[in-house]
Amino acid sequence: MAQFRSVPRILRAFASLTAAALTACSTAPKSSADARARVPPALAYETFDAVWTTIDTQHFDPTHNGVDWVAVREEFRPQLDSVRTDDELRALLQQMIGRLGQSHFGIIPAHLANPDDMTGVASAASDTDESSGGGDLGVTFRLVGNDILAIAPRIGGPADEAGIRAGWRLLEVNGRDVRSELMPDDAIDAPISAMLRYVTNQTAATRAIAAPSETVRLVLDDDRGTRHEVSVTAVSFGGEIVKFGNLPPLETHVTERTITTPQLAAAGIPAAEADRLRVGYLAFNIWMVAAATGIDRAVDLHRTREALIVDLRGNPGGLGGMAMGVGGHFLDRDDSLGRMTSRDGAIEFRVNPRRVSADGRVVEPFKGMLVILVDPLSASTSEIFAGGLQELGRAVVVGETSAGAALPSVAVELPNGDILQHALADFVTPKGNRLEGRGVVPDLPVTLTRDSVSRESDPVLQAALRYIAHERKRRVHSDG
Amino acid sequence: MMLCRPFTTAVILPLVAAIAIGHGAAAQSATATPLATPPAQTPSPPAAPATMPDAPLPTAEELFAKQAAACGGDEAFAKIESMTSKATMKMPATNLNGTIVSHFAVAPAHGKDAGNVAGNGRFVVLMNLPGIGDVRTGFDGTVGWSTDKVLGPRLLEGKELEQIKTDSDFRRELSLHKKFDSATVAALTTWAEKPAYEVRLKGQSGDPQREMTVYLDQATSLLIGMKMLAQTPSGAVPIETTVSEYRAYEGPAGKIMLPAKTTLVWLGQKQILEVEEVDFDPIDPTVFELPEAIKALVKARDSAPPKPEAPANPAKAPADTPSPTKTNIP
Repeated sequence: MAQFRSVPRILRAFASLTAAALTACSTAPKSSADARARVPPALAYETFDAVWTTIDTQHFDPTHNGVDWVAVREEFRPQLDSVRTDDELRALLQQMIGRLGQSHFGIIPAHLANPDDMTGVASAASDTDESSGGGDLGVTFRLVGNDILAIAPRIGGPADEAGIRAGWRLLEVNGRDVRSELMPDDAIDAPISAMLRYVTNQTAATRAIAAPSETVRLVLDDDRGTRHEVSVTAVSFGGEIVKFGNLPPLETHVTERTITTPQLAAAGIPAAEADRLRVGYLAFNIWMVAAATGIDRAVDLHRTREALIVDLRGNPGGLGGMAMGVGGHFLDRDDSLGRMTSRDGAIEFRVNPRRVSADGRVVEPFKGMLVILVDPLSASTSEIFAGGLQELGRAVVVGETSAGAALPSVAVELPNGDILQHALADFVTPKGNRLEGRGVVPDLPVTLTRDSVSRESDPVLQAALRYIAHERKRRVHSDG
Repeated sequence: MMLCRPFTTAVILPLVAAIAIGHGAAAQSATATPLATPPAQTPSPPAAPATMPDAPLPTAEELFAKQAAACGGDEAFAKIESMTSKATMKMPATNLNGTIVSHFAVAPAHGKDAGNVAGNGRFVVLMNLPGIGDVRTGFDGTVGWSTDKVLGPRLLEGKELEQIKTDSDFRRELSLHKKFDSATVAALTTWAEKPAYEVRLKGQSGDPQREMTVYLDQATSLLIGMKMLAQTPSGAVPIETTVSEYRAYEGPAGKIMLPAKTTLVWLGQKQILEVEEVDFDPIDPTVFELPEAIKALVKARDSAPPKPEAPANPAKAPADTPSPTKTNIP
């Protein structure tokens, strides 16, 4: 997989993968004039010391992942003398935090965490011409090899209407050449490869973004090398914008549908089988409580289906406890999805078997096949959910290895108003496996190529459907 | 918040569920350690105990008798049949602020003189937290329950149910030594920089989760600290409680003292509860009725066949099921 040439800059600007994920999910403006504001030296020292001390005293591992944390302080603190602006301070802090080589450590700029305008998107002030995003282009862009490819344009969506087809390669966004930022893998230090893998994928996925009603000019080429210049106007996801503590406002949206017979047929499933197969599909972009009602409703709707696909691709995580609540839709026993351990104790991610429907009826948790889709942008709570159910034998995971960023964390305010997100616990799966740096390895791995994307539009979903059809057939034969 | 009790475990249940936040998505507070900022502040030394450390310690009975008197006396509490309190909850480090409304009442079957018995009361605690929504926890004398959008509706069972039964005795802290097999005054020490008697309470079974250490202010005799294991959906969580402020209220039978500001610390999280209003008016019985989802769960539980000793796992694939990686997917 390629990396971005500008990774060091991205790491500074995005304040590690934490802020990268937030940047992707937040509806807040991505930059602010505040970033270049002068920071008083005393405040810079105070903020630096706050970050260092918090991590020193609350990192779940007293050895700080084997990093000499005192030496790190001695190395970076003198550099405060040359810090003049908020952005420079954030860059220095992020560099220091980056020495840990772990996920869930990052600085979230104050203007992202607490924008004046909660709706953020188009109306918020920005001093650059970069879009604040938050709109739906009707297509997913993913890094495949060295290319950023369009994946599964939604039929009738903005990208589809603009003529974009699956497998087309993104070349330019608003006149900016996105390919020039690629560089080889070997330039990346191994110890933080999981973080950089995530950041690189996240950056690729967010090259083309737009606020609702905003038009973005894209140049792509198809698999024959023909260039296409298109303008795509984003629509609203129609989700709910929520604010939780110190985190930026986040838009939450849930998608639910029944896989149609033509879609099953498109996956290569014979018509006779496709006619008999009933598969539900559920996707949500983040694990926030605002998604819970939609998730509950979707499970109710598909409760009698033979299979349900839970698509966690691109889902960066959220409230860890939600994995316990949603997990209970699929387990009829109070198993644990894993265990988090901090310096002060440990807690289990015990599921709550869901025996009552959203409208108050007595039900059983979903008993059909459960297939979970993951990709390199599935992180944290998504990994806890997928990895836990996988190890409990309840779910089959399909797709690409997830982010490997699964450390429970909190977000605290710093003296300068920025937010420090820091991991306070380690997490292991039911069998004691760490997901941090490793990720959830799919039972059914799917390697994306330009050819497979061009041919199948969404090869991961297609593979999941083929697995379900195959497994159904096997079970029917097995039952006699 | 509830008579002499600084808190009920109901106030941390949903927060434990929300603690493990995702990848750049949500947060709970961490205890904001005082930061090493120049100039460093020198903490003031703890106040010295008023008596010499080797002076004879009072007995637990003596200490709890003084505590009861300091709170207003057993008689004043015995006349209380119901109480409603409104409080705020803050997790300052992470800017998470919510409200808590608690309703407590002695269950009708037990009568007004039935205090100090676990399970003799009923209560409902309603929390509202931005980003989480409403979280309701209750006990109606029989059924312990909780419902929120993070975990969904739940019937509390096992140790959680035992704990909520204990919580329903809202006069419990007045005679703590009677609720445990042993109560030992371990030392005159300090708690929250105040000289305080440390009293260790141990339960019958030797179960460490039935142990509790409390700290009684040497000067006022009021309970100012507790260490215990709180039962949560995710297991037992060590929790430390500090009551930094009491307030006097006019109860049905005289003045009583109730905790007004309480700080809880668990898994490095700090949670501050501040009571704003308390009244002792009768509570509409419908307040304690089970939510519809909980009624459905009770119905499902009561109609379910007895559980086998080793429950089968219907969802788990049989041992001979080939793993997907070994399956020849068409």
